Amino acid sequence: MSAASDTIQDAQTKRPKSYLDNGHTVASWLLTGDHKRIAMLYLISVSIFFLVGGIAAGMIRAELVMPRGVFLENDSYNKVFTIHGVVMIFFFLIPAIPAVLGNFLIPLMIGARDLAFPRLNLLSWYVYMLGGTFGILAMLFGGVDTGWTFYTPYSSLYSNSQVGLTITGGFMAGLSSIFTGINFIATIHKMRAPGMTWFRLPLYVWSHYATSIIMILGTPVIAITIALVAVERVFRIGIFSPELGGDPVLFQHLFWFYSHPAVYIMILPAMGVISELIAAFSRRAVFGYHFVAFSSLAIAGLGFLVWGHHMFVSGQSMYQGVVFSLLSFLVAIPSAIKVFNWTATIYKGSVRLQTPMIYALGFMGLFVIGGLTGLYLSSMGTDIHLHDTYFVVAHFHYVMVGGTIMGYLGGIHYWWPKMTGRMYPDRWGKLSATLVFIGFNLTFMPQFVVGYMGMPRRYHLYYLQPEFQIYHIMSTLGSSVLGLGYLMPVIYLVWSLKYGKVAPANPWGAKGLEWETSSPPPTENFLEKPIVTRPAYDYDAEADEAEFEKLVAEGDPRAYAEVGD
Amino acid sequence: MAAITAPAHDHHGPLHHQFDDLEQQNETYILGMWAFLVQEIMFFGALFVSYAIMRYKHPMDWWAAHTELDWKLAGVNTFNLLVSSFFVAMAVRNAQLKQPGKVVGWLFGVILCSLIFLVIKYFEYSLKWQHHLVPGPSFYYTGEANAGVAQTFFGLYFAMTGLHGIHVLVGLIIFVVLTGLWIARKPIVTEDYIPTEMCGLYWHFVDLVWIFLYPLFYLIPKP
Amino acid sequence: MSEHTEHTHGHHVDSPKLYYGTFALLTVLMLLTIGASQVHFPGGSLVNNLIAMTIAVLKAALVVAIFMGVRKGSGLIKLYALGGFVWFLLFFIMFCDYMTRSWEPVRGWVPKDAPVAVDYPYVTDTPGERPAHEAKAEH
Repeated sequence: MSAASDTIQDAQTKRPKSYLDNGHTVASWLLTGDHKRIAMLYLISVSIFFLVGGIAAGMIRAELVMPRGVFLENDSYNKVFTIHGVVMIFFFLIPAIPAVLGNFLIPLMIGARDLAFPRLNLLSWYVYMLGGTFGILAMLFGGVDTGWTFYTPYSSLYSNSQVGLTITGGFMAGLSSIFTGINFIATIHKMRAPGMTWFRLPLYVWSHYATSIIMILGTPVIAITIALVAVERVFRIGIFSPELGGDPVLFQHLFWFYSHPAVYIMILPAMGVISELIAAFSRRAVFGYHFVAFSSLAIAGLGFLVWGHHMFVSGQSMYQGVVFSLLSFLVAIPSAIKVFNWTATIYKGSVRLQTPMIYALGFMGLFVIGGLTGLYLSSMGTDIHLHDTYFVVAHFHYVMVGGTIMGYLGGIHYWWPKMTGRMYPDRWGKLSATLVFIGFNLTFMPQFVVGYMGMPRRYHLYYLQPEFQIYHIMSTLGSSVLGLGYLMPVIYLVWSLKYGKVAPANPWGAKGLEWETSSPPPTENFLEKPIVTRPAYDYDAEADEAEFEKLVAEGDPRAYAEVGD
Repeated sequence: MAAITAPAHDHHGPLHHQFDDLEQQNETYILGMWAFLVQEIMFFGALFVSYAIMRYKHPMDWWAAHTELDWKLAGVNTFNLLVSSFFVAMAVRNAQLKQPGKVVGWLFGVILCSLIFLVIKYFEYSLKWQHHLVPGPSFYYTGEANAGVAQTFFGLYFAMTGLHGIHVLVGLIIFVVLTGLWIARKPIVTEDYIPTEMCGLYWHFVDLVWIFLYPLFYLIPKP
Repeated sequence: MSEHTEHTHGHHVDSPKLYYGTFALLTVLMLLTIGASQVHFPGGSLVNNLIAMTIAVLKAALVVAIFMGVRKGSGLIKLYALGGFVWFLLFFIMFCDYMTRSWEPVRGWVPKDAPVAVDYPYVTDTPGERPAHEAKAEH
């Protein structure tokens, strides 16, 4: 045992200077062009915004315990759910995986020294922070009560809250996401290491490519649309407000042209993470690599054709509704391809139930429920009944929270040793992953029921239907468990920075270029330019099993699930 | 996994550390620029769609409101932008041939054209202001069109030409910097034509937007 | 291997004549736009609009192909240049909505013996005739 530890210690002292040691001043972080450092900056920022959005979510859940509300006035409730939506969507979910894990991993995975445009990357973080500052300022100056959708004419004519500031914040967050998208596209096309062909790329990179396409095609549309709302507020130009001769459905078209694909900006990177996790912890190549790769592109493409299913009751043409309904059903095909292929990957794999894998399995369960309930909503007839109820709320939380955040946390746990060079306590990780899964279902499953019974979203009073209360209480209880599950990683991951075991270069025995370099990687990523000669996920289950047995026999700590203990 | 030693880099010159050679860097820059231009198209695209829907709903008022605009002045500007686009193309060509003197000459032409464009735009806008055609509290329209639709028309007019004007202004700044780099014979531009080409692509895009804005705002046929 | 190594190093520089010619053609097209807008074509303003937009697209194509160098660019650049056309998707689908919004259900769509739960005031056999169920209600 001690001999093995010694060799690992030796490897640690001999390892090259990591990106974390390349300057310790504040300026060396705030003026860096290093994609890994920018990813860490993003990690800190999105975590803060996740906390802000989470507090708002806690307030919503607390308020809904009683049919006549607990502590919020109507206006304050509107502001709280708007803060929750705006912060979670624009400042957490959209940048979370691409800007943190994508920034950190894409150059490592394709064998590049950095992203194509390091200064643009840094600029994107500054623009994001500026946008976030505007968002926080809007909150401090009284908040905004339009809902994250900014529907006109309320947002452009009537709302007396900080719509302008919030829109400026959202606009900036959009710009930052466009910059990230441009950077990823150029990097993935042109900076792959010798031998890294398109079909040797990890599926994570494919899904980020698809995401980047949505970012550059969709985001500018919403940027200009919400800018027009702000212009209409100031100059009353009458594009979106019927009182001024405008057309609110025009706003909804432009808004959802981005905001539906934005859902795929959130879920596609998570799907990429899950592909990596499933392969690494089943010790098998992802089943049907090409299908999973192209299903990412198919989801990105179809995503631009289905936005009208948010507008079935808005007064858009009903013939249009039929077409949108049909196209929305089609999105189920590439999504199902992914889920079936992951399942087939696990089948006969040598599964190790470590923390990231529990998150990945949780993702699959929750995403399937979220995806299938989406079919109820995309069929026009049932949507008339379910529109704007808690059924919709539960559906998109199953996809965005159950999908994206599970993927994000799974990815953070999986690559944490690579990012920081430290192991976290795996036992705590498993506990938190389990708590998140249980808490999540307890929170959102009752919302399907209460939504189907008729509880509208964005209401905080339901005293005419006191029978809804029990579901809201279950949901609030679940959210407490969920909150605990989210809090735990924050604590033990921060703890691990100082007290965690030093991580070897490849603690999971995973394949992929990012595991070939040291943990944490040196500033230039690879000391020698890698040449790729093998396909992605080149796992050999039998050889791995033999190797694993050998490690167990030698008492090597890597053989144990609880690596960080 | 086999490995080769990474090529040595000097951090001076036009090559950045993340690239292997100038060719890779150039192709990456051009691709990045095109991705940027595609997002710019979508950026303006939402405005063009709003314009199309509004004009589809109010064809007659749209025509009547557009008669307040001066198509001759804007025509001069259209020609002016075409000339500048041509200058840029020639500047890029001379940059490829590494002829700094000629490049600087063409670039001065571009700066001049963009200044003329902005000056003409200033006169157009100030005329609208004097005629109370700027949407907002002072908007006062007495023409044939429905006043509300006229306000929407001028709202879109200012939004679209204004956004285009901002792009011209940004272009002016970019070209002043670029000309400065060429005059100082900085290796970043003289040894590699790509920075000049990227500025050129941006400027051609600004020209492209105007090619569509001109007939859509100034040359509306009577329905 | 990424694409960048597959290209030759030297790049071909076009003769200035090409640029002069393109510029002249663009100017002619611009004058043509202005001229066409002053003429009332048979067929109404639709023809005018079509002509104006066709000329604009031609001009744009010239600028993109020659001034912006897409003609000589790699397939990837051509693909991204075409990516701008995604805009037409937005345009097309939104116009589908606006142009079909006023389509009305016709008589054949409502089953003859359907209970009149929903009022369709516009379901009439001939313009001006009152709906059958409304006439019945008066008796």
